[in-house]
Amino acid sequence: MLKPMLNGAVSMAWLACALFFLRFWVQSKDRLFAFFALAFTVLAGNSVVASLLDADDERRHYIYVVRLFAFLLILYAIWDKNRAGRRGTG
Amino acid sequence: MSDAGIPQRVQRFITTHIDSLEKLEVLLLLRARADREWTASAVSLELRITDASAASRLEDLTNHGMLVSDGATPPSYRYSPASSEDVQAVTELAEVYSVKRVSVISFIFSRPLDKVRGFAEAFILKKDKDGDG
Amino acid sequence: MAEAVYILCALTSLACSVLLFRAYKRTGMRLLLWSGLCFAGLAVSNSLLFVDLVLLPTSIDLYMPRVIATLSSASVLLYGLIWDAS
Repeated sequence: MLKPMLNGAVSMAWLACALFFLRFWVQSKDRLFAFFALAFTVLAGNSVVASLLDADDERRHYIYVVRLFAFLLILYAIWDKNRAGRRGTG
Repeated sequence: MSDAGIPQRVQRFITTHIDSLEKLEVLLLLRARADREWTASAVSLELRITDASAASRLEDLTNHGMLVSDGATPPSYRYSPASSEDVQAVTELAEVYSVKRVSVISFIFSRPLDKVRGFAEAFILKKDKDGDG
Repeated sequence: MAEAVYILCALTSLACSVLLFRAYKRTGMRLLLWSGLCFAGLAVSNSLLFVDLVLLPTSIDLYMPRVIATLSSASVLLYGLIWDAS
């Protein structure tokens, strides 16, 4: 009973952070924030999915793909930021 | 964006407390003439800036703990940093500014405009300068 | 495969954390401190996940420490975004 609640709390927190990044993206037009917003939304989804799958469910192991996607987004955001230089708008 | 030759301590001080050239000039003026109290209009006369600007800079600097105000109307201010760290930093700042004016000015203008931009700039791996501390 | 992914996630989190702490040291912006801590916590959480998956027997479940690390990271970041992002 505790586990879904904690996972839900984590998910909600990541979603809230994603919303902030969304706002920063709108304010600053910096692509980095769009990627971060997306990444944190995916992390939120990851938490929810982890909660829905039982411990024995074989599909559980594929959750890592979701997590991978989130972190690849973050890596891409950093790479993109350094490629574009100081301007980094868009 | 060159901060070559500006000591770390000064860089940090500027980034935390100085967001404009005007503010820097006000701070250094009050420090140079620490013997007297300054009102906004006195400062505006001395530096040839508007009264409103002077008032707002003085207010900000007081809130940052660099000056003390006597609370009168109109308020007078005196140079009196809250910590000895700050005294040191401003002394160094004054020195560097007298020797490397352009570098200091460029550095002030290279600050991230706000915290949002500051967050994004944290992810820039290489800077345009030789070593940042 | 999953192990490699979790290591990648841990390393990425660590890298972000280092970048953010470095910027915090340079500029003193508190938002950078909080986000640095968040990613440090994520690095911990992902490392625990790796350890749980690879090194420990299934009888030991690191779920609690992991979720607490993740929840703390998220909370710290949220706190920073609310109070210190002007």
